[in-house]
Amino acid sequence: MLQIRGLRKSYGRLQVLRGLDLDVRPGEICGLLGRNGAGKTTLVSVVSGLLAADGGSVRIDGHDAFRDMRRIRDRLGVAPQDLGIYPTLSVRANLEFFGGLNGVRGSELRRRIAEVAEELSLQDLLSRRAGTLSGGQKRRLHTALALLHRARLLFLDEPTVGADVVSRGELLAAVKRLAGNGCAVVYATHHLAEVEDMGASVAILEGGMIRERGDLASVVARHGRSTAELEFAGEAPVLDGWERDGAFVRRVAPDPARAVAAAIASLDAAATRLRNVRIVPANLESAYLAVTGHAPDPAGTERERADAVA
Amino acid sequence: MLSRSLALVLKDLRLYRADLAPILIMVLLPLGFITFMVPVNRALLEVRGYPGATGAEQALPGMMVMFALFLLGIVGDQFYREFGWNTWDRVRLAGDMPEILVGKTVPALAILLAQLTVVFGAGTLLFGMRIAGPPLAVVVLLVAFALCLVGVLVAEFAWCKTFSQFNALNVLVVTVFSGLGGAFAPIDLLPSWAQAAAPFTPTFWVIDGLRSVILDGQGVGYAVRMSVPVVLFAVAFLAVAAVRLRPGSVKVSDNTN
Repeated sequence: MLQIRGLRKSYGRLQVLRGLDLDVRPGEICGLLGRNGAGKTTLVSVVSGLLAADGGSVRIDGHDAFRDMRRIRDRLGVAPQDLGIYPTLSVRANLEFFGGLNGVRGSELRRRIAEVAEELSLQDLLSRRAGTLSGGQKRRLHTALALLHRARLLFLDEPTVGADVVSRGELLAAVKRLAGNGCAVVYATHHLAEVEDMGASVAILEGGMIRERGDLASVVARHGRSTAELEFAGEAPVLDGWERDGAFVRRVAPDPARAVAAAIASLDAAATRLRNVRIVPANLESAYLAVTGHAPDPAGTERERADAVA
Repeated sequence: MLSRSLALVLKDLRLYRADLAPILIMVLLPLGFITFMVPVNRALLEVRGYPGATGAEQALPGMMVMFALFLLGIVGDQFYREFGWNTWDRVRLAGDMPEILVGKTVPALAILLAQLTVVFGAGTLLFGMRIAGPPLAVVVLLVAFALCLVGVLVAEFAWCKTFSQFNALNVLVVTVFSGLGGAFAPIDLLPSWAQAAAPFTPTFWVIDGLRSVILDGQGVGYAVRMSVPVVLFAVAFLAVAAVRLRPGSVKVSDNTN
């Protein structure tokens, strides 16, 4: 459904995308990971035609996206990172407008509004002014606007920002249903748990390129590390090969149970102060950390970085 | 293309309807100003050989033109708000720039035409103004001016990155076009340099044309001839916009509500 080859994009002297390759199949949810400023939003903007690329190619459903955007527009759905709704219009009027803009009209539009509203729990809010909705409700409306025309390739750029736990759960469930119906979803986020919850494939964007790509299990198997953690009453003792952090000692280990057993055996008097033992199995966060060398923390948008360079 | 533009037109009309007060004020204000200007203009017209004139013949075209230019500030806000609301990019995802501009300018044209029509119609009735020429001649001039206003609007939008800049530029445009166009006083009473510069404003042709139709009974042919430079100004403004405006242009709105 989506084929990206050698995609390049710079803001002035700052290269944000440096020859990026990515493939996404129909029915696949691709969790696009990377800290803020890694280029996720730029990637979404370039692929959807909002920004011009400096080089490379993008094919969507077999069409050259740079030349045939008019033809493939109705197959694309994009919910950008920034909330984009008309606050002075009702929820229904927002949905009607974006449906009409994407060529959905009449009874078909009414049917799809009802479907999308049910999917994202907006039924009771349809007559409310969008500006009066809560943050999570606005985010759900913002996402719903991208779902109305049943796109075959959906870009969701950090769709759960500002959403409460319930809204987040509904959004993730909706995304899974869409993928189940054959829609390819590129889900840009730095909330790794969401990618794990959806069982999405993983694309880790770092330094303007995809550094790691694969299904969740294989990425975790390749790069994930299990961690053992011991908690003590008071200051933790010094243990060979363990990292000390106040009352805790931690160690990344391929066989954490064995490491814990060995550590406990080596404890003398400190054993009486041992309060808790925790083993964190290999997960996406540890794999992400191993690939990128840092946690997926916010560090400014790529535009901000570009402005700083300028 | 038409369906996308139509969706935009309907949406913008809904947005205007949701916030009608500023537009209504721009309809009422010129009528209020005319009230103050009628006596002095009646005296002036009597001296100039129009003994039955009410004074509105002189005041109404000028005030109507000036407040139509002021209305651009409100209509322009509807363009910049798309950026404040982050909806501009969402709209661009679905349509090309020409579709978007048609969808944004047609409602603006409708609002401007409505304001011109209501102010002219209400002013005529309220101040008992007699129109010596055919009403169609007035319509020709009003339509030409509304098209020119849309040209000014798009050119200002293309030129200014922020709404504050747009607003400041528009006040400048209102001042220059109204002053030189003869909105405050007949052209022959302006300083000589202003008289020389007046024909280089579209408002000169509109105000002069309207006064000639109202007072002297000029016909449709005359109105069409006076409208030609006005439409040429519109084309020039749109050309400026075409050169300046890029699909990826980023604008800044001060208003996110």
